[in-house]
Amino acid sequence: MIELFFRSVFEENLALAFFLGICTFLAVSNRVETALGLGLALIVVQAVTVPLNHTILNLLLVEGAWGWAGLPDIDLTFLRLISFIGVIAAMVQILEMTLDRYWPALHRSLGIFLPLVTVNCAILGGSLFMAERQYDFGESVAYGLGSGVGWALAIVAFAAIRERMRYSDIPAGLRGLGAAFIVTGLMSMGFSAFVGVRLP
Amino acid sequence: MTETRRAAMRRSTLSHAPHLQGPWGGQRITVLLLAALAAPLAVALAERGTAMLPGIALAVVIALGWQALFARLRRRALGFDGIVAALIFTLMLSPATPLWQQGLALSFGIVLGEQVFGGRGRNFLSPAVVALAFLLFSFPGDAPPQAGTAFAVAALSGGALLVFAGLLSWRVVAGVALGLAAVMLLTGGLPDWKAALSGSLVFGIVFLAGDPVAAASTNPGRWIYGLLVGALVVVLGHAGSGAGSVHAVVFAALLGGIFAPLIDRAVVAMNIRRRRARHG
Repeated sequence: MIELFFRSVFEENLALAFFLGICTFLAVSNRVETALGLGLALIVVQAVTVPLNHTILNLLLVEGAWGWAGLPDIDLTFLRLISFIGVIAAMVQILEMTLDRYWPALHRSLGIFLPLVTVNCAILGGSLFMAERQYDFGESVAYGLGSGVGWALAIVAFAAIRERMRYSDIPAGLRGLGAAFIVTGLMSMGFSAFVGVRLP
Repeated sequence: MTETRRAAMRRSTLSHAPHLQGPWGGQRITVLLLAALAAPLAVALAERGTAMLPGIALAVVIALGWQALFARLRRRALGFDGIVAALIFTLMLSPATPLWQQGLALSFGIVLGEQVFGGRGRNFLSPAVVALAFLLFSFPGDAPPQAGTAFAVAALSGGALLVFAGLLSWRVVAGVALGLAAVMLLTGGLPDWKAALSGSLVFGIVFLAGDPVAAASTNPGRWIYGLLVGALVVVLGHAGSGAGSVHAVVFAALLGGIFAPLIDRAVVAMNIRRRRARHG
């Protein structure tokens, strides 16, 4: 369980190993505070939706889940994608209302990217990986938390580098997104070193 | 003050050369780093013989070539710090690496690790680290032979010179040593510390992780950065080819450099919060 957590933070980092959620990763990384806020939001969403989707998948959708009602051959797995997105959208909506009420400054600085977390591929990807790899409930909690923490760690470190790069002298054509892609590549190369690292 | 005089003053402040003035200006840092590299270079030449020379020549030509090209495009004075990156890169290499791979990796490191960001000081990673990581990532081969004790002593003396000159923070070195020892103790591998304390490890700590541009630059941040790099050397070494291997040292330095801006940023934020609490 702990090993799965660390593996999803470092070796299988959603942003730097699978390049999921890159649109938000590149767009909301100009300031560390905003990146940290979004990272925390993503950890919360990921840590709640992955186990929740796991429960829904196994109690309602998999083949034989309706056996208790006398319908043993109903297989609703084709509803997997749409129910995952529904859960994520509801979760993000709740988070948005909470932030609007308690942290209006963070809510304002996240702007359109908070509702867009709904379609963030990192979050949907997390739930789909959970289904694909057939984690049990405990593993889905560890994986949801770990992959969220990994993505948040990546975006906060990336934002700190971009803040420091204000002192750089980058060729005009590469300023902004171009340099961001180069930095993402260098970070990803660094994270590649975690492949094969196991807890002793 | 008359308008003409004000204009004259503005002209005079603008007419300064774009590089730093004062005791750190010009090429003094490059000269000091080259002096620190002299002893390890001499030991490596004595051990490996003249077979190293083509690699060194190629690396220096490539590094200076890219630097000259970018200096020309930016219309800046030409610096010579590319030589330092080239020498560090060559000294960490396995002698069996083909020359075209060396040239490709060093070009990647110099251009995408340094020059594209505006040259030394405006980048955030050491170009030698980026080049070595590129080489190890793209052409994974057998583990390069470990450099010996004489090389370690030479690197250590170079490091002492750099600490004395203020180009290497003792906090970073102490942090790395502490992190190494602590994680080794935790994983129960202390008996093999002698094997782990290889020449490439000492050289890597001094010249790769200790690079003042890539390392954290706040004092508490230097400790945290050092501890992180030291711990990573052991952790990555367990997965790969031993704690003192070139692979572990290079990628620990790369990851340290990736997280250094965040460490500095956190230290500064904590400091601001503490001062605000103290002064209301």
